[in-house]
Amino acid sequence: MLRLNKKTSYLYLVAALFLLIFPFVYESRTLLILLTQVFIFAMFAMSYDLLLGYTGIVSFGHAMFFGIGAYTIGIFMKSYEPSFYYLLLAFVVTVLLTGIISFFIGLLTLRLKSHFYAMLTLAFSGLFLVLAEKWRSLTYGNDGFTFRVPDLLKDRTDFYLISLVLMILVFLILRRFIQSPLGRVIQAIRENEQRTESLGFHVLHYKIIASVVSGVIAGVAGMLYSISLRFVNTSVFSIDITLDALLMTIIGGVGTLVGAVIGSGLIEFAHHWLTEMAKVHWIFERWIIFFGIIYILVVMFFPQGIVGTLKNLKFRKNNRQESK
Amino acid sequence: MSVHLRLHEIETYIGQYHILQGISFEVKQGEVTVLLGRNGAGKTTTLRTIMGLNQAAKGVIEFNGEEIHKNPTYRIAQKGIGYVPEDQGIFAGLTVEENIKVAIQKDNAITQERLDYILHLFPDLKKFWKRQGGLLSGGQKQMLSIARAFINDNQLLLIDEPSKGLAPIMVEKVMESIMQMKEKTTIVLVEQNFMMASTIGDYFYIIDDGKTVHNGTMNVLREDEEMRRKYLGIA
Amino acid sequence: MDVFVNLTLNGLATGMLIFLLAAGLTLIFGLMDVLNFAHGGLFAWGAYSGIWIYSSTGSFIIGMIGAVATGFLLGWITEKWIIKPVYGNHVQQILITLGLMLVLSELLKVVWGPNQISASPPDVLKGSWEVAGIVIIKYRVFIIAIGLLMFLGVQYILKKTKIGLVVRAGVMNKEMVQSLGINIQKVFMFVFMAGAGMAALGGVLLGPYSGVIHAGMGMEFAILAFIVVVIGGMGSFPGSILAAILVGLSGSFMAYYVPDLSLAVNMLLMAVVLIFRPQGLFGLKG
Repeated sequence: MLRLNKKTSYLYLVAALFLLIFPFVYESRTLLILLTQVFIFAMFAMSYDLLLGYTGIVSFGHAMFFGIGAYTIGIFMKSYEPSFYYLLLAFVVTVLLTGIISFFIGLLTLRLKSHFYAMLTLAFSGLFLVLAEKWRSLTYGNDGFTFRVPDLLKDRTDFYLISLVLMILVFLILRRFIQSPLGRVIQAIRENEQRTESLGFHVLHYKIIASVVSGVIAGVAGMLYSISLRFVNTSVFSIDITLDALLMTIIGGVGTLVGAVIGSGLIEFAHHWLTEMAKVHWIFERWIIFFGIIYILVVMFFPQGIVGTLKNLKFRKNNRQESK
Repeated sequence: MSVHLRLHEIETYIGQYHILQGISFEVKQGEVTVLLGRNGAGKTTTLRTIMGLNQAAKGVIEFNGEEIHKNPTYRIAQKGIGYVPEDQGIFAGLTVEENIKVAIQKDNAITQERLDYILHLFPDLKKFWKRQGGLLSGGQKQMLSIARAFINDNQLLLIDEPSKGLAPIMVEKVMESIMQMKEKTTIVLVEQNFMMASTIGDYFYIIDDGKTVHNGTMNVLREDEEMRRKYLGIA
Repeated sequence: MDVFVNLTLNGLATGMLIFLLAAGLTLIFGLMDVLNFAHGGLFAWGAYSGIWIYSSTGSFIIGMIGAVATGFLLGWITEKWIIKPVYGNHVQQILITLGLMLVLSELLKVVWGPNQISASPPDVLKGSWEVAGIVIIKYRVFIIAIGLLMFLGVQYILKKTKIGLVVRAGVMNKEMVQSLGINIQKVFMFVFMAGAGMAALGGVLLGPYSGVIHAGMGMEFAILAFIVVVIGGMGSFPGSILAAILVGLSGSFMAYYVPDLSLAVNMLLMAVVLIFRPQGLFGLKG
C-alpha cells in the first residue's frame, strides 16, 4: 500500500524541490528537454500503473489515449489559432474523448478474461493507427504536421516547470484516488476478483472507472508530448508507445506509482544516452532489446520491479530488527 | 494383508484455506476403505492430494512402501493408481471408445483382459461405443469413468462419490461392479450414501474438519448409531 | 468476373496465411490456457530465416523447411524458458510473451538489418495461368494448397493419432489427462512447437506473396490472428480455419471496394462476436 511514512515523504519533498530549482542552477537545454520528457512519460506510466499495478488489468492499447491527446491539441492549434483559449478547449475535448472511448471499450471488454482485453486493446490501438494514417485531411497521415503553441508554453523552462507541477499533481491525485474507499475496492479486485464480486461489489463498474481515469490521464500526457515537440504524427499511436509504458511500469515497479516515475526516468535517460552512443556503434540503436530482456527477467524474477524489490528488502530488514 | 496406501499427517492448503489439517490413514490391500464425513470435511481434497492434483504442504503419502507425495500427478497415475473424480471427468467431446483409448497406458494382455472384463460388467458401454461422452446419461458416465480407472493394471482405485445423482437402480449397478472389482484391486471410496458405503465397505475412516477423527471396521459403524449421528449427521 | 475470382483467390490465400498463424494460437490457448503474444514474432522469424535460406540455396523448398525448423527451435526455447516458468499466472504470462515479441522483432533487425527485404516466388511458381479467360496467379493457388494440406494434416493428427487424441482430451480437461498417467508437459511442448512451426511456415509463404518482409509484419498479422481466434473460438481448430477464411475474404473484398474500412470491418466482426457469443462461433471455452 502507499502508506508513506515520514522518511519517504521527506525524500519525495526533497526530490521535488531539487527538480524545481534545477533549471535555475544548471544550464543545459538538452537536460531540460530530457527531464520534461521524463515528466510527461511519468504521467503516462503512472496512468498505466493504475490499470496494471492497482487494478490488475493488462492493456495493450494505452497508446490509443496518448495519441488522441496528442492529435487533439495539434489539430486545434493548427486549425484554429495557438491561443490559450483553444488550448483549454483542446484539453476539454481530450478529456471528453478519452473518457468516452475508454468507457465504451471498457464496457465492451472488461467483463471478459484478461487475455481478451489484452488482445482487443491491441487491436483497437492498431485500428486508431490505421485511422490516423488514412485520414490524411485531418492528420496528414504518416508525415504528420507541425504546429505553433500558445506563448505561455513557448519557453522551455516554463514548460519544464509546468510539466513537473502537472506530474506531481497527477501523482498526488492518483495516490489520493488509490487510498480512497474506491481505490481500495479496485485493489481488492486485483487481489481476488471473485471474492470482491461475492462481497457485493459490482466489479465491472470499478474496472471501468479505473479504465476511464487511466485513459484520461494518458490523453493529457499525450497532449503535453506533442506540445513539447510542436509536432505530431502517427507514431503517437504506435505499439512502441504502449511498450514504453509497459517497460517503465514493470521495471520501475508495478503497483507503486513512484516506480512509474523512476521507470520513466530510467528509460528516457537510457534512450537518450544510447542514441548518442549509436553514433559510435550501430548496435546501440537496438537499445530496446536490452530493455526488452531486462523486462522479461523482471517479470519472471522480480515482479515487483525496482521500487517493489527495494521496499521488500527494507520491510524484511525492519522485521529482522524488530525480532531482535 | 499388507498396507497398500498410507497417509501420515497430511496437510493441504487451497489458496489460504487450510483444508486438510492432519489426515492419517492406512488402506489394506484388497479391501474397500471408505472415507466418510460431512460435506466440506475434506474428503475430495484428500483424494486429490493422493493423486497429486493438490500439493500436500506437510505429511507423507506412501504407496506400496514408496513415497509419492512429491510426485507429479501423471507419475502417480503411472504407478498404478486410478482416479474416478466426483464429476467423472469424462471428455465430453470424445466418444466412449476414445475416452477409454486415452486411458490405456500399456496396450498389453492385462489391459485387454481388464477391458473385456469391464465391458462385460457394463454392457452399455459397448452399446454406446461410438457415442460422444457428453451425450451419455449420468449412470453411463459413471460407468465410463470407473472403466477408465480400472484398465491398465491399476492396483488402487480412488473413487469419489460414485452414487451421486444416480437413480437407485444405477446405484445398485455401481455397487455390484465395485464388489466385483474388489477382487482385483484395492479401493478407496468416498461416499455420502451410507447404505452403499456400509454394504460394500470393509473399513472406514471419518474425516471431520480436515482431520481423521475416527476409524474402525464397517461392522462397528453399522451398529453404532450415536457415532453415525455425530459425525455423519444420519441416524 | 476476373476481378471476383481474383479477389476470392486473394482472400483465400491471405486467409490461409492467417490460419497458419491462428491455428497454433488457438490450440495453444485451448490446451495450455496461454495466449502467446509472441506468436507474431515466430511468424516474422520464419519469414526472415526462410527467405534468407531460400536466397542462399536457391531452393524455395529448403527455405520452407528451414523456416519450419526455425519455428520449432524458437518454439522449444520459448516454451521451456519463457512460458513454463510463469505457467498459471495469466498476467505475468501475457506481459512476458509481449516482451518476447519485442525482443524477437528487434533481434530481427540486429541480424538482418532494419530495412525491408524483398522476396519473390521461385520461378516455377511465378506468373499466372489463364483459365477460361481469367488470369489466375500461380503463387496464390500454391499458398491455398499448402494451407489446405496443413489443415488436413493437422486434422488427421488430431483425429486419428494417439497424440492428437491426447491433445483434444487435454483441451477439454487437463487434470483428467494427467490423472490418466499422461505427462501433459510433454504434450504442451509438442503443441507449442507445432504451432510455432506453422506460424513460421506462414511467414515464409507470406514473403514472396507480398513481395517484401519487414520486422513489423509479425505484429500486423498477429493482430489479424487474434481477431480470427476470437471469432472462430478459442481452442477450436476448425473454427480457426473458417474464421481465417472469413476474415481473409472480407479483407480482400473490402480492400478493393472500400479500402479504408477493411480493418474496421474485421474489428467490428470481432466486437459483435464478443458481445453476443464470447466463446466464438465454434468455441469450446469462454
